[in-house]
Amino acid sequence: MLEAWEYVINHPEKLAGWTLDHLQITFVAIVIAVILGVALGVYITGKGKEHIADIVLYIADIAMTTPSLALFGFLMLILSSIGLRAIGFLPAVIALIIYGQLPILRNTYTAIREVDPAMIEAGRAMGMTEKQVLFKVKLPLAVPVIMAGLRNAIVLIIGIAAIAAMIGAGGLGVPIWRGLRNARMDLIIVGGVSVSILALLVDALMSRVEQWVTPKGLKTR
Amino acid sequence: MIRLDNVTKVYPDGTEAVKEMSFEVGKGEFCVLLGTSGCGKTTTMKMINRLISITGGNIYIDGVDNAKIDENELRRSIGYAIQEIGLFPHMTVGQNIETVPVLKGWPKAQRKERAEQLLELVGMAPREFIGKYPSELSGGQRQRVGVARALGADPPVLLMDEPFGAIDPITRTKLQDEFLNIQQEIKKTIIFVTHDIFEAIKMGDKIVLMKDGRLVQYDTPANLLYKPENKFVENFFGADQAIKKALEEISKRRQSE
Repeated sequence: MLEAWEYVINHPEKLAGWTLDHLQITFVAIVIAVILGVALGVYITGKGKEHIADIVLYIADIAMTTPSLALFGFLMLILSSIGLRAIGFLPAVIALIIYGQLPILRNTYTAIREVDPAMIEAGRAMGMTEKQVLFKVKLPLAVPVIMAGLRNAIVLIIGIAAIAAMIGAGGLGVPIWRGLRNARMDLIIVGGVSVSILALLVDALMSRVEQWVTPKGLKTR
Repeated sequence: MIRLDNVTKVYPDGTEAVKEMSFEVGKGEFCVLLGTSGCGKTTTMKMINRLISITGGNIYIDGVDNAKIDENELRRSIGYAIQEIGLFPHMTVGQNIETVPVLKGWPKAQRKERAEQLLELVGMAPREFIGKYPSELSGGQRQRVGVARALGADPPVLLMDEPFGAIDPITRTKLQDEFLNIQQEIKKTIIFVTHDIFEAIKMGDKIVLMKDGRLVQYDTPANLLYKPENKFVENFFGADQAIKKALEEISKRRQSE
C-alpha cells in the first residue's frame, strides 16, 4: 500500500497520463453507446417489432456474457480482416460500446414498454400523433429507468476499459498489466484503485445529471 | 350534433361489444351512457373519437361522417376527460391544460390566457395552481384539472369516461354540482359514461341505457323512472324501493330548477 502511494507521489505525471487516456477511451465509448443504445431501444418498442426486439436483446445478452478477453481477440480478428487497425484505440472503443449496450437497451426498452397504457391513450385521445406520444409522453415518463440503465453501463464501461490496455489502448489498465507481469504489487494497486475511484466519481456526477434530466413532476419528494 | 347510426363493434375474436346502436344527441345536450360493467358504453364512447375503430354503421358529427375526418384532427376537436389518473404526471397543471392548444399550434400568450381562464372556471386560483404538478394536488383538484384540460381548446363536444369515478362521495357530489353549473355556462354537447344510476339521473338531460352492447331505452331521466319501456328498465331503476325514491327525489329537484 505504502509503496503504491510512494509511486503516485513520485510519478504523478504518469498517473495523470493513464487517467486521461482512460477517460478519453471511456468518454468516446460512452457517448456512442448511449446514443446507439437509446435509439435502438426506442426503435424496437415500435409496433410490430416484437420479433426484432427479441433478437436484438438476445444478441445484447450474448455480447454481455462473452468474456472480455475473448471479445477483444475476436474484434482484432474482424478488424484486421477488413483492413482496419486491430490494436489500440479503435477495437477498445468498439468493445466497450458493445458491452454498454445491454443495460442501456434493456432499460430503455422496458421503460418505454411499461409506460402506463392509460397515459398513452390519454395522449392519443388529445390528438397526439404516434411521434408526439413518443416524445411528449413515453420518453419523459421513461427517463428515470433509462437513466438507471445508463449509470449501470457507464460504471461497467469504466471498469472493463482497464482490460483495453492489453490491446495497446492505454489507460489505467497499463499499470495493472505491467504490475502483473513484473510482480509489482504497487503498480497493480495504483491502477486498480484509480479505476474504482474514477468509476465512483463519474457515477456521482451521473446522479447529478439524473436529477437534472428527470422531469420535475416525477421526482419523489 | 352527434348521430350514431347502426353502430356496431365486433372484435377480431368474434366478441360483439356494441350492436346496432342508433341515437342522436342534440347540440348542448348532456347525454349519459349508462349500464353495468362490460355493457359496451365505454366502447361506444371511444368510437366517437375513434380511439376504438368502428366495424359497422356510421357516426356523424355535425353531419360529417367521423371516419372521413383525420383522426388526430378529430380528437383535437373533441374534449376528453377521464379519471384523475389521466393527467400527465411530468407536466404542470398549466402544461396539462395546454396540451391540445399546443398540438393545435396556438401562440403562447393565448394558451396561457386560456389555461388561467379555465382554472378560474373550475374554481382553482390560477396563480396558485398553474405551476404545480399533479402529484401536489388532491384527488378532487386533479379531477378539476382533468375537466379543464378537456376544455383546453374550447371543443364543441366533450367525452367524459367516469370522470368522477375515483373520488370520495362528498367531493364527488360537489364536483357534480360544480360541473352542472359549468355546463350551464359553456353549453357543450356531452357524452358522459357512468355505471352510477344516481349520477346518471342527476347529470343527464337524456340517458342511453345499455345492456349487452344494445340500447335498451333512450329517454329523459323522468321517463326512464316513470315510463320504463320494459321490465329490464323498470328493474334497473326500481328494483329497490329506497333507491327508486331517492332517484325520484333527484329527478324532481332537477325539474324544479
